[in-house]
Amino acid sequence: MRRPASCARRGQIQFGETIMVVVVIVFILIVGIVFYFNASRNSVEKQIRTVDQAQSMTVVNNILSLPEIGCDPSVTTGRCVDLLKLEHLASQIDCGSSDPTSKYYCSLFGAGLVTITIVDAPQTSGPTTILFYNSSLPNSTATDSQFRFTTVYDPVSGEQLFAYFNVSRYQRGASFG
Amino acid sequence: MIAEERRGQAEIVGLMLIVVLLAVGFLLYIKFSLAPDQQANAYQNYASTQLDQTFLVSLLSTDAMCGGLRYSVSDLVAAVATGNERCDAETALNDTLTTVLNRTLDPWGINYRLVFLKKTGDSSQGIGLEEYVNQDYPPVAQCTAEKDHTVQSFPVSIASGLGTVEAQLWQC
Amino acid sequence: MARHFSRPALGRAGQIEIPFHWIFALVGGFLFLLFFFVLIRSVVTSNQQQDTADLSLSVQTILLNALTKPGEFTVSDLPSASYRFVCERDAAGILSYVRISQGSYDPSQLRYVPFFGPSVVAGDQLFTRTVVWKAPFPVSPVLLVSNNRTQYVFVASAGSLNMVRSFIQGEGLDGFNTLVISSTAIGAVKDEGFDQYRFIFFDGFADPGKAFKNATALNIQLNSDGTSGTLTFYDNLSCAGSCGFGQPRASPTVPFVGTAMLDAAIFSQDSRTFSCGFAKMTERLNTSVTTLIGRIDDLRDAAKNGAVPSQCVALYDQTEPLLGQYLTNPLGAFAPTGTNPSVAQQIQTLQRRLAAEGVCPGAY
Repeated sequence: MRRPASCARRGQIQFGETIMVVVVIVFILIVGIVFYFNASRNSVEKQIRTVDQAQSMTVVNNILSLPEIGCDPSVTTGRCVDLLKLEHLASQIDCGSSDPTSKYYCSLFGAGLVTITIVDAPQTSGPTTILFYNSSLPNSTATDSQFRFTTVYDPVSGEQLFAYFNVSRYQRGASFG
Repeated sequence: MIAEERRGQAEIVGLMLIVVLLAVGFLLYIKFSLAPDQQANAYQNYASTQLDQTFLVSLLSTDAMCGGLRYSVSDLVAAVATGNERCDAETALNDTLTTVLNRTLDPWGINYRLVFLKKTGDSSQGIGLEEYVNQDYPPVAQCTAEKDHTVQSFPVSIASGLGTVEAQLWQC
Repeated sequence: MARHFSRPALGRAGQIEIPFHWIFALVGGFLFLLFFFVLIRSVVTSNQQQDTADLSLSVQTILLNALTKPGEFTVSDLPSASYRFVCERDAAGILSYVRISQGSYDPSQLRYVPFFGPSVVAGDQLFTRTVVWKAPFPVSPVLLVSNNRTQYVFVASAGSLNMVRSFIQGEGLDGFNTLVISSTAIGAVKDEGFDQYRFIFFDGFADPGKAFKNATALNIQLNSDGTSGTLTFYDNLSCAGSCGFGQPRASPTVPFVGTAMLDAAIFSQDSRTFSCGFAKMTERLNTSVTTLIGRIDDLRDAAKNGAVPSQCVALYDQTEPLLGQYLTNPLGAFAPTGTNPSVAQQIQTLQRRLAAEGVCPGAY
């Protein structure tokens, strides 16, 4: 007996529909997973930026409170760094070398650029900027400048001059991958 | 036959619904994946920098020459507030403050107001020094009490019994 | 007439389709369930690891920020957990980190934080205080860490009790759980249920005659200047015989200079952790000394140019070689040699003489 053509066709349609439904569900799942991982990635990038900024703040505060460059409190007032100590400490740090002092401070401060600008330097007619620390990453730019104000004490003249630290972090591209 | 046709149409509608959902999902995906990266490495805009108290503290500790002798800004403010005439404190103070502000907050575009107030009881008044603002802003845009602003203040020590003097830095 | 519909044929087609659909549904359903189970499990595990990592970062930030605020005492509320502070030295260098419960950790997380405190801090509060170590010039910040479940028992003779109380107040240690008792009253110290006890003896080691949980001890011999002397650690105070401290093993005596170093010894869990933390403190010593020597050279040059009074030069000339001794023998600089004052004390004297001149910039 010949099987009616309509029966054979109905069997094929029922089979295909089930497959289609499964394919669609899997496709929706894949889209959902992609969304989820995309959102995760954005959230991780945001966290990295937050951590970076928090670390910037910590580095800034670290530098400002370095006992090695602090002033003698018996002859100065308020926030103060000693100019000669600052210059001599800066001269000992070279992130390109492997001496213990450089390795210590370069690890402590990380990748960054720190300058101090003395706003009213008496020997000059304008601000004087001293490079305190520079450790860059390849193919990166200095960003997220943070300013912290202080005074610089010149032990030779005995003056306390208004100054500010400018601390930037070196960062590679905005996103990873 | 008629029932089968209706079932076939219902099935096609169901399939179309799924296709529509897929299309919407795909469009959303395209939208998010092409969204511009926010907070990309952007150089910090100085004008939006929120100054912290280190500015006032450091400013008050800064030295200034007055009558051939060295005084801190804090000492000169106290001298102006108490009318101590040992040297031309007002001029020395003005020179130092103007130099500092011209080389920091002014070129950085910060909309500020620096005032020195003497507080006696509940009232406060100026000590005779001008109020310093960023002159790069037109007068209507300068920082005033009517505008939304933050205030940092720091006390200046003066002789006891003469009230208290406070340095205030407003930032609009 | 041909039949369009053959039930027996359809029934046979149905018999073939039905088993196939059920198997397919079962397999597919099982795979889906497995997939979701794995996904949810990985998300939960990842969240737990994230929480631990966040907490570890928070603790690191608390400590790093505390280090930048000398003189401040802070109380930080934390989630209740076990915080293990580790400082270990080996041939490769220093490993230092905080491990939260059994979570993962970065072994160099606290590499540059000279902290001193109990090895394990359990609970939900962390006390910190930062002091600056001066030897006698400022060298390094020192972070004192503790919590509300650690007790510090200061034991001294009756005549020294006021000195001890002044010391505690002067160093800002009164925020911690401190108890000051006379050495004759040490037997009366009660076990108040703290997690650990640290006994600090100023006039010789004494046995309290009973066991205390996680007890360690430190004996301090002060010099006449009150800011230098020697330290002896007693690390293993086990309950033996009469259930007191038994025969404690004393570590080799080490000299100290500066109250910050004394604070560090008081707060250390034992001699090993003190030694590790002190190694972190001294990493900056060479740099500080080199900086000061360079500064003195500049001041001497300025004196030649008349910018600094010439009477200061002789004092600078005496100070510089003393500073140089720190580069070759740091601990030796802290100890007096016979009746001579220590190098640190001599530098302090010279600094006072410079200040007394009224016109000489200080040596540090």
